[in-house]
Amino acid sequence: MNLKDNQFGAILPKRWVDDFTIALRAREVPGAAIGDAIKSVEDYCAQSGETPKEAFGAPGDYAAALELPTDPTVDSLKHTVIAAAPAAIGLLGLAVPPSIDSMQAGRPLTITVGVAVSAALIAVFAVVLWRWLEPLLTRRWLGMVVITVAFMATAFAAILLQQRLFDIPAMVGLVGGTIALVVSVVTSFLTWREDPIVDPSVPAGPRRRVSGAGVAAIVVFPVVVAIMALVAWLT
Amino acid sequence: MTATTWPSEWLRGVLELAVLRVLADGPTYGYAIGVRLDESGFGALKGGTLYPLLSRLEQAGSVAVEWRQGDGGPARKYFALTDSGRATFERTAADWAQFASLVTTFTSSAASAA
Repeated sequence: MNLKDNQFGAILPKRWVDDFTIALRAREVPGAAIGDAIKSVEDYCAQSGETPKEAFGAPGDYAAALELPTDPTVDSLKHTVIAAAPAAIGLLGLAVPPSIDSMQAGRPLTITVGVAVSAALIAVFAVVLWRWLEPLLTRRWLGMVVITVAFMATAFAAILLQQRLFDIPAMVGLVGGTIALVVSVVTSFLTWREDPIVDPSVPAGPRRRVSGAGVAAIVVFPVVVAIMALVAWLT
Repeated sequence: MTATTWPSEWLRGVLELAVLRVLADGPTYGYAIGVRLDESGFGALKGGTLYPLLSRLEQAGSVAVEWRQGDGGPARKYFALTDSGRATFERTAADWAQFASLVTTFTSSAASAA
């Protein structure tokens, strides 16, 4: 049984549980310990008749007050690089649809200033997300503002800055982008770490190394790029 | 002054010892620890005060935890003193008794006129 099942954490306000979970995830607390903490709050509130806010206060403050085990490897630069590398490599797959356009037009693939600036902006926002993940997730308006700014800045840079930087053969863009997508998917599967929030009072059953949600998270980007490539091929 | 209005800084100093004392009677769960302390005159404690302390005791190895299924009710997390926790309780209780005696003796002695 995990947090998404109705019986676990169901009597608690979803917003409180979500903020509590985010605060503990940001501290690199393992999912099993988070499940234990949520179940403890649920048990206490069921007996006292209090809401979690009344009994435990603000979720962020309560999360900070608890002394829980953490996984020190998760916050390391090495782990972050390993976790982010598949996604970064996969971004090169975005070269596939314009490469198909360029091949059909019989011209090389032009790398513009906008593409270079967009890549730099993505790197900057990735660092921002990594460094300030907890405040961006718990202050949702701030997270929405940062994500909106990041998306618009990246998109506008790619669209507006059309000055040519250099050309590469379209076939290189197509093959290189395709290889990048394949490498991204394979390395994502190899480095994927499942850490579900589970009910501590229920014996853990056999668990797949990559859950259905994990598979979906890994393949959604390549599928989107494949659809874009198909559209480029047909138009 | 009633037992429910002890200054919070006093309670902070003695709460760990009081929780260890409750657990010295045998394993129990968080809400029951709070009720026992309230009935003993410490006042009503919030879960947000009690559980961080229990988490510290768990991480320090002073208590062991176990989820037990209730009789037809929800599962509960039971806390039990470990050997290390029991030794900590006995040592701290002895120290506290000495400190309390010292404070009582000192504050009840006749004040000399200036």
